[in-house]
Amino acid sequence: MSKEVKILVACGSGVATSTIAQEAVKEIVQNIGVKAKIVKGTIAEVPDKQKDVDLVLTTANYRQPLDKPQMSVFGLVSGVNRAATEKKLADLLKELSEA
Amino acid sequence: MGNRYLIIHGSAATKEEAIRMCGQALYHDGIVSKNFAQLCIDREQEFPTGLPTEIPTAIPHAKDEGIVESCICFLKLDKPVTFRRMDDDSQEIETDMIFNLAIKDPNEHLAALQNMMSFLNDPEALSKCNTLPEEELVKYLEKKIG
Repeated sequence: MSKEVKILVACGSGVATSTIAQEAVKEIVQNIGVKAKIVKGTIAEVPDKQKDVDLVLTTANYRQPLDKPQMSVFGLVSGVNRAATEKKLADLLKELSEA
Repeated sequence: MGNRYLIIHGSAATKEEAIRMCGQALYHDGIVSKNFAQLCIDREQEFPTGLPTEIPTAIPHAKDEGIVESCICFLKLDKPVTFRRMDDDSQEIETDMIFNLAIKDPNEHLAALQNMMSFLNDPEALSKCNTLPEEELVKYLEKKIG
């Protein structure tokens, strides 16, 4: 039985790009059949909110060290390198759900 | 419900000036609070919104409780200004096309936000922003983005 992956999707203001990214992540999660819970937040909230999740996805670059795995999903928002971002995220989600 | 669109033209020396022009136009039309431009400038400083797409653009925005209805203000500049990139703030883009987003409820406007990102990735659609007269451009944006 694979476990549920808790994901935080964060952007600068929590308004525009994280909303788009959250929807794109939902689609990927469904496509690969991984159980996941997605929450949205701002980048400022990442250091605190990471405690409650297994994976942190940011729409901008994030350079602070984190306890949890982190990945940029700018590609899902902007369309730049979208396919590569989707693949990388799908692999990471599978890995985390089987961990 | 669809977005409203404001189309403005002008010249700006910096991205801050460009954002202020959009914010003033939005405030003038009663769409945002008076400090919306400053909120966008502050956010841009910390989390830049320049997009390194085929035709680079920038999408400054901020959370503002004062937003009355969702609106996209398109600013076409005479000369490009520099924005730092959203995906890598050590890199920059130059753009003369700025889309200042005033979003009232992002979840309600998800489809429009998604359409807008496809729009910004479409050089042909973007080039219409340079060529269509204002009234037709508003109709075009309503059709393409919603």
